[in-house]
Amino acid sequence: MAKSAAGLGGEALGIGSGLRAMAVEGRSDMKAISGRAGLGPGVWRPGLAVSWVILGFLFGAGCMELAASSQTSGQGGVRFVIDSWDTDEGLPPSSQNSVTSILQARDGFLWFGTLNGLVRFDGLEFVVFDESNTPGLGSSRVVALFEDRKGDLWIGTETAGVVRMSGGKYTSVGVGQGRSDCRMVSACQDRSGGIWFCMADGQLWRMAEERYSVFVLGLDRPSSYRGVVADAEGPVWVGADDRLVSVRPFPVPGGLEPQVEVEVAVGKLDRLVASGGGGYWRLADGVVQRWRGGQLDRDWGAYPWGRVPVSAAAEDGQGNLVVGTLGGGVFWYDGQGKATRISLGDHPAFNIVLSLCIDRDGTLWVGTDGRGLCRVRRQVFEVWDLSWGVSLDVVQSVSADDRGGIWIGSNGGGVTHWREGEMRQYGSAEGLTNRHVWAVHADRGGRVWAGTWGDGLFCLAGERFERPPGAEVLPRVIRAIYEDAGGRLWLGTQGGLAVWEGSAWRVYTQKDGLSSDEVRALAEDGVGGMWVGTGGGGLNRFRGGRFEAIRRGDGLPADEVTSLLAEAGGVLWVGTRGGGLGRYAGGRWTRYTTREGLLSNSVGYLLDDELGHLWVGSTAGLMRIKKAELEAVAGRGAGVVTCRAYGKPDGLPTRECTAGSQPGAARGGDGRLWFPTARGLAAVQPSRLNPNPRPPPVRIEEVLVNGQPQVWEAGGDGGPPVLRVSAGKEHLEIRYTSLNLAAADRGRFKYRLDAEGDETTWTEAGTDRVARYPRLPPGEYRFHVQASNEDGLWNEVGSVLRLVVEPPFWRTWWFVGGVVVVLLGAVTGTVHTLSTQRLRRQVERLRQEEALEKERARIARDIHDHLGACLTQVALLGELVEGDKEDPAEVEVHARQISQTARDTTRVLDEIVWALNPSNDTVESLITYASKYAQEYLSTAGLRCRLDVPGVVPAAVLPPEVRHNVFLALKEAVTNVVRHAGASAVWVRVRFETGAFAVEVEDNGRGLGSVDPAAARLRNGLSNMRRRMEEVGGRFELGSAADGGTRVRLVAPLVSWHGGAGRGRASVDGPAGRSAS
Amino acid sequence: MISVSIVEDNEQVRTTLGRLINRAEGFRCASQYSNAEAALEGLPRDRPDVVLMDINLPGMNGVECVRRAKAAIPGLQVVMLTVYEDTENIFAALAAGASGYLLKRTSRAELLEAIREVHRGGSPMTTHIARKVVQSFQRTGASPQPTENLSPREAEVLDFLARGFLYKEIADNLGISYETVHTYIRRIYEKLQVRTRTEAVAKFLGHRDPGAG
Repeated sequence: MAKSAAGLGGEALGIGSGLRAMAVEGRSDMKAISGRAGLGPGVWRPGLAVSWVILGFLFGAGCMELAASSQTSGQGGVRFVIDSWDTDEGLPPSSQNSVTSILQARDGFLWFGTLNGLVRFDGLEFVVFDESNTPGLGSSRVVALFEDRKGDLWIGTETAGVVRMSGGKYTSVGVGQGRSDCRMVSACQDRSGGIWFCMADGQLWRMAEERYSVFVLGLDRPSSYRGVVADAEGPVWVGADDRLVSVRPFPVPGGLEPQVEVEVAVGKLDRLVASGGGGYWRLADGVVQRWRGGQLDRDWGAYPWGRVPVSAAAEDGQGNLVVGTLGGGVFWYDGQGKATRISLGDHPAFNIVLSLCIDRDGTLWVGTDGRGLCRVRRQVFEVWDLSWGVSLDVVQSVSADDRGGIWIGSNGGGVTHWREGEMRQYGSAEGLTNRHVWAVHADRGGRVWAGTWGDGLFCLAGERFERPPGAEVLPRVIRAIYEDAGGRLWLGTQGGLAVWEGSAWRVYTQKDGLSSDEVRALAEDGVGGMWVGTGGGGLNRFRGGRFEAIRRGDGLPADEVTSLLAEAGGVLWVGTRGGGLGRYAGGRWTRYTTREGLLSNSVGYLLDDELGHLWVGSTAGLMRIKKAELEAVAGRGAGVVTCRAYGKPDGLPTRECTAGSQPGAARGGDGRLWFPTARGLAAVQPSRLNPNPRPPPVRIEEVLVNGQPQVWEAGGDGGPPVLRVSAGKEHLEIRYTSLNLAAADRGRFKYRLDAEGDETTWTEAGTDRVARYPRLPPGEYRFHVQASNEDGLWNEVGSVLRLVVEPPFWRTWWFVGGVVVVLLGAVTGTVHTLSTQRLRRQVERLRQEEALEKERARIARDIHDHLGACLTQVALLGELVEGDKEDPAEVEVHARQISQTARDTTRVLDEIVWALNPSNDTVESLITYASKYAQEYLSTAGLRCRLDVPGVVPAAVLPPEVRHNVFLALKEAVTNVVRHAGASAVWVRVRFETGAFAVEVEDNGRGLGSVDPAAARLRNGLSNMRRRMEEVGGRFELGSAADGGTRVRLVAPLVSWHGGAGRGRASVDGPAGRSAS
Repeated sequence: MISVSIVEDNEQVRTTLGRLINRAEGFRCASQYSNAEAALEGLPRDRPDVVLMDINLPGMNGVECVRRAKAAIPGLQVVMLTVYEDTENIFAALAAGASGYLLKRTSRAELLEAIREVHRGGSPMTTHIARKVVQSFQRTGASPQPTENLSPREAEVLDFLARGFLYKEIADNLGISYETVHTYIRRIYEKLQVRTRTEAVAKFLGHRDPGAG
C-alpha cells in the first residue's frame, strides 16, 4: 500500500486568531532516511548511480531557503493529497528509489523507468521488467520513456541504447548505445509521424517508416539540458542550454546539422514542453512562457522556484504547466499563471524531482530521486485542527448559522465559531465553564446553544456563554439539540427528553413512557409529532404527550439509535450503531448494511447535501450514497448501493467520523458540508466533487493453471484471446486488474464464467483481483470481467478471455474410437458366447416344449374325448326333448339327463383345471382334492366314507406327475371299491413316513379271497395302479383289511423337487377312471 | 319369503339365477349386482336375507366384499358361489364371514335347499373345509382370549366333521340334536372369523405369524 498523507502546499489559508492549518499528518509513517544518505538531515547527496543529474542538483543545492520561502507564495488554497511508494512497496529493489521517467500508456498502465528496471504499475501492483526477465531490454537502467501514437514504447537505457517495445516484444533499435552520454534524453513524434530522439550528447535521430536518420546539433558543446518537442502546429523544436531552433527533417547540404527553420535567441534554456493545444512552453532565462506560432501566448513571469534547477515539466489536461525541480518540489500552475508549490514530503529528497506525468484522470505522478514514486491528487476536503493545544481533538457537533457562520462543538475544545475564514474560540474565559461540548446549535433567532457533558446547557448571550433561565432542571449531560419547525427547542439528554415549553423546561423520562432515558437523536415526524432516538431503547414516536416505542423487532435496524434525519414526504432515515442505516417510509422499514454496500454498520451522523446524496458518517469512513439508489433498494427490497467512501486518501484527517451528537454534520449556507471527525473538522463543497467519469480499463493479467502461468493466443477476427488448458488440471486462477490509477484500491470487480451457450450470473468480487476455478470440465468457456471506478461507474465492456479446456485423453476422438473398437469386439464376442449358450438353452427348451406339446396334445384329446362326448350328448338330448313335445314325462327325463350331463361336464372340467393349475402342486392340495373326491364319489354311490388325515400336512411340493398319478390311482382304487368290493364303508387314510407319504383306501367288502369274473378286471385295474405308482418312484401295496375287506396302499416319495423339469405328465382321466396313458 | 340378492359378474348366470329364485316358491330375488363395489353400496339398502356371492369378481373380489358387507350389516347371511372347489378361496370367504358355499353346478333343488338352510341359521361345513378350519386353529395356536379358542365340544364336532362324518352322524355319536351340531358349527365359524381378523391385525402390526412356513 501506498503511504498516504494529507499533504499541503504550505499555502496559507487565511486563518486568523489561533487557528492554524492542519499540519501534514505526521510523516512518522514514512521511513527514516536510508543509510545511503546518512549525512544528516537536510543534506542529500546523490549516489553515483544518478550522477548524470547531479550537475543540476548541485546548482540548486543552495536554494533550499528559496524553496522554503516559496511555500508562502501560494495563495490559491489548493490542497493536495500525496501518496508515495518506494522499494518497500513494490518498486524494484536496488532501483535506489529513483524514478527517472514516467508515462501513461494508451492502455492505461503507468510505466516508469528506474535504475533497476522498467516498471509497469496499475495503481496497486508493480510489475518489473529487467535484464533477467526481459533480455531484450539489454539493460535494467532505464532513463527515458516515450510512447508513440501507434502505442509502441521507446525505452532509453543508460548505455544499451534505445529499445523499442512493440506488442510485448523488445528490440534494440541500435541508437544511443555505448556510453551514458549517448543516452536518450528526450523524444517526440512530429505531425508526419516521424519520431525524434534527442541524445544527451547532441545527436538527433529521426525514425520514419522504419528508417533512422541521424543529425547533430551542438555536438561540440556540452549542455545540461537537451530536448526535442513536436509542436502540434508543425514545427519540431530542438533545444540545448544556449540554443533553441525549429528544424526540418533534412540535413543541411554536406553536413549533419538539420535544416533550421527558426532560430530563437536564448540565454539559458531550461526546458521545453509541447502544449496540447499547439505551441510550446519555454522555460528559459528565469521566466515561464508559452509560445505559439511565433507569438508569446502566455507569460507567467519569473520562476517561482528561483534558481533551483528544473528537472521535469509536463502539461495537464487543462493545458496547465507543471514543473518539477531538483530540490524545490513541484510547481503546478493554474490558468492564471499562479503556481502552487507542492512539497512532496518533509525530507528534502522528496522534492528532488526527476520525472513527472499527469495521467488522464488528472492525477500527478512524480518520480523522485531517492524517495520513489509519489502520487499527487487535489484534495477535496478542507481540514481544520481544533485541538487548541489540547490533546483531544474530537469534533462532536457542527451547526450553521444564517449569517454564513459555522459553530463547532468539540469534546475538550469548547465552542469555535468560523466565519469567512476567521475562527474564534469560546472557552471558560467566555463563560463556557465546561469545554466538553457535545452539541452546539445556532437557532433561527440568532442564539447559540451549547450542550455539555457534565454541566448541562449554555446559551451565548453577546460574547459570553451563560446558563439559560430554568436550565437547572435539565440533566447534566446533553447530547442533542433540536429546534422544531415552530422554533421550540428540544434536548436529548442522558436523563430523558427535554422541551422548552415557553416558560420552563419539561423533561420526559421513562416514567412518562419513554423507552430509554438516553436520548440521542431527534427529528420531527412531519405530522405534529417527534421521533426520539435512544441509546438502547430504540425509537420513540412522541405524539400528544404519549410515547410509542419502535424496537428492533418492529423493523428498526438496531436499538441503539445514533442519528435521525427526517425528510419531507415522511421518509425517516435512522442511523444506528451496529445495525447500519434504516429507512422508514409508509410504515415499511428498509435496512442497509455492509451487505448492501455500506462501509460500516456503525453509523454516526446523517446529512443530506441537497444534491441527491446522503452523507453518512461512520467509524470506518465517510460515505456518500445516492438517495435514488437507496430508494431503489427500498423499492426492490434488495440490492446493493454504490457507496463512495472518503477517508485519508481523499484528505480527511482520519476516516473516523464522530458519533453520539446532534447536530452532527452540518450544511452551510453556501452548500458546503461540514463534518466532525475524531481528528478535527473537515469541509467539502459537494458541488465540486466531480465523480470520476472514466470507466476503468480492465485487463486480464495472468492465468495460472496449477500455479503455472499460461500463454494465450490472440483471438481470430478481433474476438477475445483464447487460452487452451490441457485436461486434468486441477486449479485455474485468473488474475485481472483495472487501471484506475487514482483510486485503484476502491474500484470493484465482477466476473463470470460462461460455458458454451450458457450464461451465468456475475460474481461480485469486490476488490479481489483474482478468480479461481477448482476444476473445469472439458469444454469452451468465456471469462468476462468488469470493473468499476471509485464512483461506481462500471466498464461494461470489460475484458473477455476464451478458455478451451481440452478433453482428457479418454475423451479424445482416437481414444474414444479405440475404445469403441475394443468394445465392439468384446460385444461381438460376448454376443457370440451368449448366443451359443442361448442356442443350447433353446434346444433344451425346445425339448421341454416338445414334452409340453405332448401334454397339451393329450389334454386337448381328453377335453375332446370327454367334454366333447358330454356336450354331444347334451345336444342329442336337447333334440330328443324337441321331439318329445307331446310326451311331458319323456321331456322331464331328457331334461334331467341334460342337466346331469352338463353337471358331469363341469366336474370333468373341474378335474382338468385342478390337474393343470400349478398352484395345486402340493401334498396338501392332493390330499384335499383326493379326499373330497373320494367322499363325494362314495357318498353318491351310497357308501359311507371316513377320512383319517393329519390335521397339518407337511408343506411339501409335489411334482405334477406324482400328484396326478397318485390321484388317478386313488380314483381307480375308489372306483374298484364301488364296483367290485360290495362294501358299505370306506376308510381313506393318509400317513406320512420318512421321505414318503401313503394313501390307504380300505373297505369292508368281500376282500381279495373271492374269485369271480370281476376279479380278473380288478387285477387289470390293480396292475394299472401299480404301474402308475412305480412310474413316479412309489409303490403299490395290496392287502387285506382286519375285517376281511381290501386295503390298497399307495406310497409316493416326498422328494425335494424344484419344479419345471418338464418331465411331468399331467394326465386327465375321465369320470370312469380310465387310464389315459 | 326369503329375499335373495345376487352378486355375480356373468350376466347370463346372474339373470338365470335370479329367474330361478323368483320362480321358486318362498323365494324372491331382491337385487342383482355385477360387482362388489355396487353391491356394497346397494346391500345396506336392500337388506336381503341371503346374498349369493361369486368369489371371483372383477375389481374387489368376493372374499373382500363379504368382509365389508358383514362389517356393514352384521346379521347378513352370505353364500359363496364358485365354479371350482377352490378350497383356499372358499375357506377365506368363510373366515371372512360367509355362511356357506355352493358350486355353480349345483342343481336347482340343492341351491334352494342351501339357501333355505342358511336362512334358517344352518351352517354348512364340508369335510375339507372342516380340515381347513382345524388347520387354521392349529396354525394360530391358542388365543390369549379364551373365548376365541374352541371349546372341547366344538373341537370334537369339528374333528368328526373333518373325518367325514355327516351332521346327523355327529349328532348321533355325541348324543346331541342335529340343531345343536349346527349351533356348534356356527360358533366355530364365528370364532374362525374372529381369529382370522385377529391374525390379520397381528400381521398388520408386524407380529410374526407363529405357524407360518
